[in-house]
Amino acid sequence: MNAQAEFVRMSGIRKSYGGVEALAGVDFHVGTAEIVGLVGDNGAGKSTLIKVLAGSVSPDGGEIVIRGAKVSFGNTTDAIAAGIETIYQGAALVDELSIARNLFLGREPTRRVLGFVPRLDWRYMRGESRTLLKRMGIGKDIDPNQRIAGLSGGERQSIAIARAMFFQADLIILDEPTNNLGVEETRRVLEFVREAKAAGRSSVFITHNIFHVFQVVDRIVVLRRGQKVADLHASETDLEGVERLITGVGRMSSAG
Amino acid sequence: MSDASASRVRTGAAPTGRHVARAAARRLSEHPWALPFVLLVVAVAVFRIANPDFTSALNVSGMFSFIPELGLVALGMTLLLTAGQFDLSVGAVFGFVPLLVFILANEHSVPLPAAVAVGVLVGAAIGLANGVLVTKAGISSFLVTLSTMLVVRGAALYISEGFPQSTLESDSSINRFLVGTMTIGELTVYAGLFWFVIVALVLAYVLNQTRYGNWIMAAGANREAARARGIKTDRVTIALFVLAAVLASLAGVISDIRVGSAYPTAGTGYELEAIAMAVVGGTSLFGGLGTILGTVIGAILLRAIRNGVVLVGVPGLAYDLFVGLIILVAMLLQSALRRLQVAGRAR
Repeated sequence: MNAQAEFVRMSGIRKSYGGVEALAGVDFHVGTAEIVGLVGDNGAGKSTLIKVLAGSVSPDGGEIVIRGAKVSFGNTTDAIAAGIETIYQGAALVDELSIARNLFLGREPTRRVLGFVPRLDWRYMRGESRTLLKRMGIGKDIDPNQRIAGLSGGERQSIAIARAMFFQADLIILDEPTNNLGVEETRRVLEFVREAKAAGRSSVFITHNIFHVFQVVDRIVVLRRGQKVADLHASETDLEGVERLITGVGRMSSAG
Repeated sequence: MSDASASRVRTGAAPTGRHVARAAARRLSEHPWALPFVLLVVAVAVFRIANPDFTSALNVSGMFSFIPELGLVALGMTLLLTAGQFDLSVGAVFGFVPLLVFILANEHSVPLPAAVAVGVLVGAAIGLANGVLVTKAGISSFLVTLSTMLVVRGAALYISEGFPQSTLESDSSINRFLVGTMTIGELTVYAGLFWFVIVALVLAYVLNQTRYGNWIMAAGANREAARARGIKTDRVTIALFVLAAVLASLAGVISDIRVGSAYPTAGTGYELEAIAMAVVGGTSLFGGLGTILGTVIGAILLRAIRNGVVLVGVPGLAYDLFVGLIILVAMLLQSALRRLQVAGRAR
């Protein structure tokens, strides 16, 4: 256990799909300003666990406590309101909409024209978009009015991250954030996770790529077949050890 | 634009005709309503040359008395399509609601404004049923609205016993509001045109300038992403089904009061023509992209084609054949343009 204040604690989370048990009573916690790597093979339950935390899947059992108070998420809006932002694999952006419209999707700033007619606050949306794009290092020649469809995978990921950053989430869940990214883009994502930590925010980093995990995380949680098989400080283990835990070959006994 | 000029630089010498055409086409594709506008100009020119009466005051007045009625239906359809849905029951609602209004006014002496209010509410309820069935029961909008189309059309036949409701025995002031005429020069303009313009302006504003517009486009383009951002996509969808049904109800009432009788079969096929207007105008059949201005142009274009084909002397029985072929060509051009746009993006 770490000495940091706990942001979220999930205990005994269970979820089955038909006869398949995706999560068999998993405990998982994240401290304030902590970066936790969540690793495991395909079908280990990583995605389901994260969807429960993001409010898009309701668990069959178990409880979630945020800052000491029990919560129950009916949908993603509840989770967002509790300060949890999720950056999904594939970034979950709307291709047909512009960058500015995507950044503020669901939380569009509006002004009143003539005192009563609501209208999108374009000046604010475009201005903030430009600032954010610059901060993410992709501001040079990208127009916030441009459609998402024309952007590269890395640019999309950066925009999704910029969105989470802008809305000041307390906990940012990154689902395979470095998939399909180039070296430079990956570096920027990892840098962002460190910056978020410096700003007192927590992150959960889900990935297949253990290399990337080791570069940033404080702690590593390993899932296998719906169960937590290890919860280790990054300093207590190494690449090989984690790999063994993921595959279940030559099981390490010091787990937990 | 920038890569079009880049390719010109690469080829070195003077731009070839093909490059110019490609660049023009790409610029055209940034404004989905531009193509139907060009088609409209061409159609008007061709029909005008073939028969000068096409642009006579009488003919133009006639066209513009029809446009608002189907046009209102197409406006509602445009927002539904943008949200990734469509509604096949609007034509049936267009026939059923005015029939109900006429029966209430004629046989039950309900004052016309009250009868219209009841009719529109019933229309809204049909839209609500469509929306709830599509979102909550998870049945595709094709199947849900195909069923409600049959139910509503059947109800219209049943309550009217298959006979049209003739002349409305009412000279309520609401008549002038809905079907009054105004003469501008030689043109006679029906009140319906004003309603059409007002509704088009409001919906264009909502779609492009408000957060609801953002939600409608996001719901149609990437429902999961919209939901993940906390947008209540079901509520957005239901509201649009209600809007489409209400506009179809109003359009039906305006149409039948203008004509003076209500047929149980009025509006047959209007659902498909409304979809055609929207799609020819540049709205995507697959959600996410919608243009109200495009639908306004599409509505005028399709009416001009229907009218022009008659005036140039296409034999009566070949009429639908020609209209269908022209619509098909318009759709092909629109989809070719979109492919070009996608190819341009991929680069």
